[in-house]
Amino acid sequence: MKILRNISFGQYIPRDSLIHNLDPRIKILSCLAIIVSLFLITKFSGYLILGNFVLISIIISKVHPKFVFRGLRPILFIILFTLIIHLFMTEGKVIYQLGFLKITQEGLIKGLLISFRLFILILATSLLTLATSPISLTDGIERLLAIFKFIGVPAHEIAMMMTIALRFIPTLLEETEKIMKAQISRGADFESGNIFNRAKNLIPILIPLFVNAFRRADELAIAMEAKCYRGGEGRTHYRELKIKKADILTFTFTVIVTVMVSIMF
Amino acid sequence: MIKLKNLNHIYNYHKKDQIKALDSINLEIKNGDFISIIGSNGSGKSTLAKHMNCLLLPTFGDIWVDKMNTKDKSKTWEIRRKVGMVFQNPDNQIIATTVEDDIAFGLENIGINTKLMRERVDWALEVVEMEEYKKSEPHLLSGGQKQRVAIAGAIALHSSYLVLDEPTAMLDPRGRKEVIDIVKKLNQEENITIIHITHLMEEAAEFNQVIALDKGKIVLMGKPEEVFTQIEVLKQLRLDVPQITELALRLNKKGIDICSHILKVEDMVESLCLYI
Amino acid sequence: MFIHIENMRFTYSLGMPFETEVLKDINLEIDKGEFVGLIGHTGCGKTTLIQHFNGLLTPTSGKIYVEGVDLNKKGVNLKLIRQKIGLVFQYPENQLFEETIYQEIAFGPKKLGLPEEKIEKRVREALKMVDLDYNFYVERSPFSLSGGEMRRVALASILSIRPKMLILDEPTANLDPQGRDNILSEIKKIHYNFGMTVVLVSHNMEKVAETVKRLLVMYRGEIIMDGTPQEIFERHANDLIKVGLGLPQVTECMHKLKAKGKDVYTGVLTVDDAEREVLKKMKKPLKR
Repeated sequence: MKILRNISFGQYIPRDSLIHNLDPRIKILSCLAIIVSLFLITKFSGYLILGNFVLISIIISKVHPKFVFRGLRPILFIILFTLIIHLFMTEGKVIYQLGFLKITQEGLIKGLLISFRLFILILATSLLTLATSPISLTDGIERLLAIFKFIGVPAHEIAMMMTIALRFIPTLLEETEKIMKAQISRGADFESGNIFNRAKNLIPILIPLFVNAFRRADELAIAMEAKCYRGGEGRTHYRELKIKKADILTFTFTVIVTVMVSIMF
Repeated sequence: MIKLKNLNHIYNYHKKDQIKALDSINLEIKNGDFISIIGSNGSGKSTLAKHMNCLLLPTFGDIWVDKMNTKDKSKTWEIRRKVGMVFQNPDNQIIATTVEDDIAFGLENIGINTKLMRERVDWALEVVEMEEYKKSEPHLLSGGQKQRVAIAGAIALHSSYLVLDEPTAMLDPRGRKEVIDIVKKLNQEENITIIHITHLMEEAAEFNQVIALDKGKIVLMGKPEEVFTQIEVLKQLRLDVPQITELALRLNKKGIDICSHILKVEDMVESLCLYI
Repeated sequence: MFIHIENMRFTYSLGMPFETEVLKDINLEIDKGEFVGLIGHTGCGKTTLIQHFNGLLTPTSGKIYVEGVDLNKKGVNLKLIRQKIGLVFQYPENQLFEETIYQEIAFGPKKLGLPEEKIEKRVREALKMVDLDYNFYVERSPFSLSGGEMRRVALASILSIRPKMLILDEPTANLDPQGRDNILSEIKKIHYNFGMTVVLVSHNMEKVAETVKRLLVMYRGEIIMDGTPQEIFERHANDLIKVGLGLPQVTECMHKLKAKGKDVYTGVLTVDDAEREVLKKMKKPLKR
């Protein structure tokens, strides 16, 4: 059984770099700009430029590329799957035939384009979460969502939920491990049986976990109230977000690159 | 000053299964007081604590914090700012993902500007001696350290009163000592009025005043040496008696001329030296 | 020999950046019928140690035997071991999940595949061991109980698998004095009346020392003291203070008298012991 206590929040890797020190709002918006242009581009050369743009950002961030590429691992299967689907399922000029399976030129191009799109998308978002602490990410999301407050987006509440979730993930993991061990000591078995039985066997873990989580939520709510919490109204922020020169420059540069790439390719 | 006059609290007052948790409590807590409240489970001590911070309102009677009645809705936030609270479970009162953000939580709520907030956070961290953990993630701290963070979060609001509801119940002896040392320091150096709830007698003996609750009533009140010598009463309340006090009383009964108000081991040693 | 441990070590997250050695060279033997207290403050490795007793954790190196069976040999039936060693976790009330107390206590026996009549017998027996009335409690929800009662039900849910050894991690944590005394007297009774081998794990020296017959003190992953509570209080008082455990007030008092050159026995555990000792060593005749 593994010890879960030492895991860290998210996958943030602290470094002192230009990317790390950017305002989270700038990072989120830049990331969005890249994503939007990824879906507008239709040519390889466009992806090449954007891909290089993201790669250079990774180098600037001083985060070891292996961490960034690790983010690809869970998605690799999907990328491969879409590639294969497109390879075989697109009508057009046949360039290779294996039995009834045909690979078409159009399929190859389309498959590769989409794979590149996903690939760059994951790299860009990985970099965002690797180079931005969960706290400032939450802060950034809260401030950005605040723009939509007039249409009723509960920006503060969303951010508060994210904060509390982040705070309690390690606590709940630790508790899950403890409850599991306790139930194993009482004779529970989580390893054998078919899927249906295994799901049933999880009840002795899930119920205590829920009961305890509700109790925690109750106590936390009282503690928050005792500390004068009354929603987002009139609340100030410990972490001030200030747009610096580097932020403006970076954002302008990103916008120019993405707009140009989207128009030209 | 916190003044409680004929304070009653009845849970489920409008339903059938009423439970009387507090029964006509009259009490005055003066600024600078250093009080511990003892009592077994269900004696009403937590309910009492929650009244001081408007988390509960009296069913009958009144409670005033610096002349503000807790029933006055317009004063709720001012009272909560003045009366800091620390609870039992260290895990369930830390809200943010780093120590500094958690201490700032209350300050953000009352809308203090960022510059002042940073000063207050640093000050509070220094008072609870946790400066080096400013950027730490709470789940990596020990129980005693988590409680110190919770204390810092309360005093950062510049509260004049701190109510601690069994803050040491889930800690080991080392964690307990950390918390008690900080609480003493807050009282002596920062002149914060302390109301500390516990069921550990050795801990209660460290305070200037002890109040024993039972079934929602104040049954004993006074200096530790006055309260802890009431061994029969304490045993009836299902509470412990400090070993040294019990020994002194027993020896006293056996005809040894020893002061029965002894709470400290050193005093006992001194007295016994005359006889052994 | 019931439990036998040889040069056992345990390291968390071996090979990872936060690798920590939690147990360093543990050697320990516990016989059938013993009543042992395992004391040490948080983080000293006591909880890690007891999780090796029923195979929840596997040592990084060294051996552990339960009734002569090497727990880490291939093909060992750990389920059988867990039936022999009942491990009660800290705050066991947090693991309750069934609708009724009957089902809660029947969980273990059911997993053993016992027939219904035998299960009922075990539930009755377990409830009796923790002094809860069968008829009053069986149909109730475990979540309707007080903290102390919940803990006793959790204890009963381990007793119903009829372990030969009972290990309790901080059984008195967060109980008020009465709840604490109740659970300790239940445990004493289970030891004396049913001959159960018991290991009581705690960071609170005082109450445990008066309860058990043998005391193990752990510090930074090692067992640094092993003996009767009297021996340990008599000989190792200074070391106990050094490792942050502290002494009961009466023991401290005797040690301070001794330091002043008085000839007193320092292995006292309770107020009774201290009173007897003081009266025995009085040199002046009593006044009055």
